[in-house]
Amino acid sequence: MNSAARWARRIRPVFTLYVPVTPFVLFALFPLYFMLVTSFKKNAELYDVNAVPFLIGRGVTFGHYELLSKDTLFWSWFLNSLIVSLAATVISVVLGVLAAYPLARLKFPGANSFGVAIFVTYLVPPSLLFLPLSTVVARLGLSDSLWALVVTYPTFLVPFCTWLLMGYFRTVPKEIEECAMLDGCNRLQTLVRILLPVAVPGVICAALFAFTLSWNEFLYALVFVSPAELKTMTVGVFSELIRGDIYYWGGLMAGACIGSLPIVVAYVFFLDYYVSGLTAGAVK
Amino acid sequence: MQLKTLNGDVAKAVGRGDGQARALSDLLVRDTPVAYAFIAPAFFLLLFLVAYPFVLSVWLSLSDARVGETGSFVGLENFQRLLTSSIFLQTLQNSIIFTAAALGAKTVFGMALALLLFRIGRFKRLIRGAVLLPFIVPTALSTLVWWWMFEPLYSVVNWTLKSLHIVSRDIPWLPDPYLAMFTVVLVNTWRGLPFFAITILAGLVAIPRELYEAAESDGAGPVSRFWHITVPLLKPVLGVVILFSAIFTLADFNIVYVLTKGGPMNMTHLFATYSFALGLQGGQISQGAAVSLFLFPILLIVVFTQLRMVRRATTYE
Amino acid sequence: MTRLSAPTVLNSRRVSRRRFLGTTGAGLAGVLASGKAPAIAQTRELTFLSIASFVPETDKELKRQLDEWGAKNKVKVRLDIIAHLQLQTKKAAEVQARSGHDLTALGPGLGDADLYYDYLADLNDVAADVAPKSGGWLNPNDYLIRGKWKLLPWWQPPFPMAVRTDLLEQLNEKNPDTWEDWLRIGKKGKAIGHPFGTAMGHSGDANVTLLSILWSYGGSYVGKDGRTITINSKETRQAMDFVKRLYTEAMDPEVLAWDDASNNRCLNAGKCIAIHNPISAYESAKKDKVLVPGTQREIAEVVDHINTPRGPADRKATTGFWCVGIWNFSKNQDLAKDFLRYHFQPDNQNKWVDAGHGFNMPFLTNLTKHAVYKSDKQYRFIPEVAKVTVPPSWPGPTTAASQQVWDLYIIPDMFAQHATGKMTADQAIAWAEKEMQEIYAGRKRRP
Repeated sequence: MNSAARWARRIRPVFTLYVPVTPFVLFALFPLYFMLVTSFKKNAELYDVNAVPFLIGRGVTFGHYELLSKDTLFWSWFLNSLIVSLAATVISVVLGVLAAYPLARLKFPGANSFGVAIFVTYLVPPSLLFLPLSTVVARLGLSDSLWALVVTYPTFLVPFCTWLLMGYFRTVPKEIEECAMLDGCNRLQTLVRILLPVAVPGVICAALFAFTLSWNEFLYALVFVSPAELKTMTVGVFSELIRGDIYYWGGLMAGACIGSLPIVVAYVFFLDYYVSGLTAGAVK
Repeated sequence: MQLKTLNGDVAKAVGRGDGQARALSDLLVRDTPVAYAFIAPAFFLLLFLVAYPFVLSVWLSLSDARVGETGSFVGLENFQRLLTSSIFLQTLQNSIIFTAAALGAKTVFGMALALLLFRIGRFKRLIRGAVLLPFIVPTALSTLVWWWMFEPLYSVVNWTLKSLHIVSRDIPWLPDPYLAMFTVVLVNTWRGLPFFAITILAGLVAIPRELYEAAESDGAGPVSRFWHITVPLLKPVLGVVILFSAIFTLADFNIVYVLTKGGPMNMTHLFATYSFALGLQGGQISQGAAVSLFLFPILLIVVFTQLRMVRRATTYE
Repeated sequence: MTRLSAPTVLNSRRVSRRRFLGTTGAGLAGVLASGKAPAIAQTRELTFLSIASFVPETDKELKRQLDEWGAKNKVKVRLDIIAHLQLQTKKAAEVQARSGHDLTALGPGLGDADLYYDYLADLNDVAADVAPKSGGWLNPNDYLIRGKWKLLPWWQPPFPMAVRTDLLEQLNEKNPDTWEDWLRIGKKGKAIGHPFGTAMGHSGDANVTLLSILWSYGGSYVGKDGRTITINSKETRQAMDFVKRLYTEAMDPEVLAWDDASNNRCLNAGKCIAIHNPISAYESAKKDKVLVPGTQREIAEVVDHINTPRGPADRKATTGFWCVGIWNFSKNQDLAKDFLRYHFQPDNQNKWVDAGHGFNMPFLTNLTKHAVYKSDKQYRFIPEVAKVTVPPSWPGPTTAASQQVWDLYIIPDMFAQHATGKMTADQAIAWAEKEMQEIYAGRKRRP
């Protein structure tokens, strides 16, 4: 192959891949860049119609972050969100693994119905479901405590985790389990010692999904928890920084930035697992 | 290439009458109680915390309950009354347009993005991570950012368009009914695209390369390869993703509530936002429930058929 | 930068989280076994749910009073604040579950009390106790729900007209007073890039201003009996024509998408020549030292607040009627009533109004003469506006149906559909009439 062809071969991907993907990346990132820039802008510039929205022209300010940190209970809310999300994730993944295994491997009466029933729970939107659910939560005495969230979040996390893990388990060859069982392991041991280590990407993928959905949840956190120090992050930010007809934009954006950090960090570490977890899970 | 079902494996093994196969089928029969034991925690969680509210929600839509009262059974009266309400009919139309447009955009662009991500070698992690971000950022807050981006006075979108001299006046993104719908669909697409792209990407990764190579050596061009290999093999993935997304898109509340509150003139009201206005603000919980559950029978059928198609587990040979 | 201040509840924060992480596990098991919520023995408690006030100091003052009362009476108190947009959701959940806070803010209308009539405690005694010391209630009959005191009207933000005096001078206008005046001024202002602005979309402000216009032209949507729909009238058509002219000649189309904060922003960005709004815009302009664009002058100096405008028939306005009530499933109703008496005492009310810089005006006569309204030239018309302010259900009594007309933005939609040309005046009125009849029909009491 002569050098012109070789050069063309190397340049071509730039045009057929990197150029086309740029609009997607810009589209995805732009609002978030805007969020970041707004959180560092001074109020005077923020509300000036003639200022350039993209750039910070009149000096960076940490004032919004200070406001958030010192004048509100932001770090308490952050911690609450963290606790609730972690707890709900652990519960959902455990329940999901336990439920996915029989659905993926075993034949038993009711398997089909259970699989479908799981999906059907998503058909009643949370904007309606929360009302009867609040009665249940109150009767259990869980109102105004983080337990209310830890217990109710799995209701929308478990079905998805189960489905994901079910698909993932199916891709793992059965032979290794069958060998283990013929050697005398029972089902539980097989699951924990043989299948899980191999299925780590799938489990991580399910955990990331569960954590993201818990972290972003708003409605249940608003309704079931009232005390200021127990609020989750988004609920707290909304209630402190939107007062009547005044929105504290700088503070809201600062809250959004800090609030996105944990998940972004988690995804950076586990991105490869995430994609490979979906890889097998979605197809089979 | 042969497609087999997993069930077929076992059936054949059992039919063969091997000693090993018999042990296998014995294990299967013995495992029913084990299966139930494993499923039990999830089952009971869903039973107590979902089934009861679920049944109650359905009851609410069939009764004349107000907040706090149980009300009495009225059959389909709520649904009948909805069909004569012009606001509801507008909502129905809005929801169909919104869901169809958003799903269409997400499928087409998701597929395109997935194909690109599949082939990209350099900066793979960075690009994939960047593309995932809209899905990760808390929805309530990211919607606020979008609202600020389209806010009539300070809209950065208008500012950009005017600076580039593409338009000379501010575009009324939110005040104009049709542009408002466009905006809402845009934000929903922004948020949902990562999910589509990454899931379809996963599906792409699973397609064996040999198929492409065989087709290429048979003389098939890239477009032909796409239509005759990629799309058919992606059908299960697409099926599930579209199903999930349809359910969640139809139930979307946050975007419309923050951006337009259903306006202007009810032209962007979706089921969830109208249900909120009717049920929670007005106290007519039963009517709000009827709005939320209006499509429930149809969705149920859709879920059944889709799942039947997808659960037929397929393996490649 | 407005300073918000966190309640210094470090100890209780740690305790509550420790309690959660430590002992709730055992407690949960016990609760599930016994089947009902555990009663916290012996300590008397009172919880109050309120909304985040526009002026953060108001919340702080309320908390201070609550703490003070709690210390005096040995009651453990808690004030929970949420954003006002989320109050409805929270209330519905508490009523549905029959459990939640003892005292609750209600609003932004009185209609909540009709909606939740069966769940609110009677407050006839408290209302009677509180009134005499403060010169009586402004319009006692307005606040009765089905003839009873089910809530105490707490505060209102009156809606004067905020105007840029420098632009008025530029246009050679002075002392505008009628809605027609504002149309003329808005038209001139729009020509120089400073249109008039009032919300016409799905927002509280839209309801307030458009109802004010409707009444000022002699129209109404419901009769005195609170049941007959009266929207179909000559006066309504007059008002509709006026608003159509206002929209096309004096305003920008963006008002169709305005939320409650948009008019504030319009004024403070130097764009709008006038808005119909409480003093919140002015207050935030003062705090943030917003400048008139292209100058070094503070915009707060050239903004003036004058009376809400008059129409051919009348001068009338409305606003959000924020109230407070006690759930009748609360176990601490007497304590709650006691606190209400304490909070509504004249000196506590005085301090509270002070903290709010006059934004939150109580419904007690003496307090409309509070010194704060003389403290700044801007506030001089506030008591005047309060005099012509009536509940949104005027001339009928407040009912859940009138509240629903408000919540579904029927009036703004009616005006908007005609103003944008989507419907003729007759069509729009017919549409609104039908919608309202549906709403009122759905509200017939069961025998």
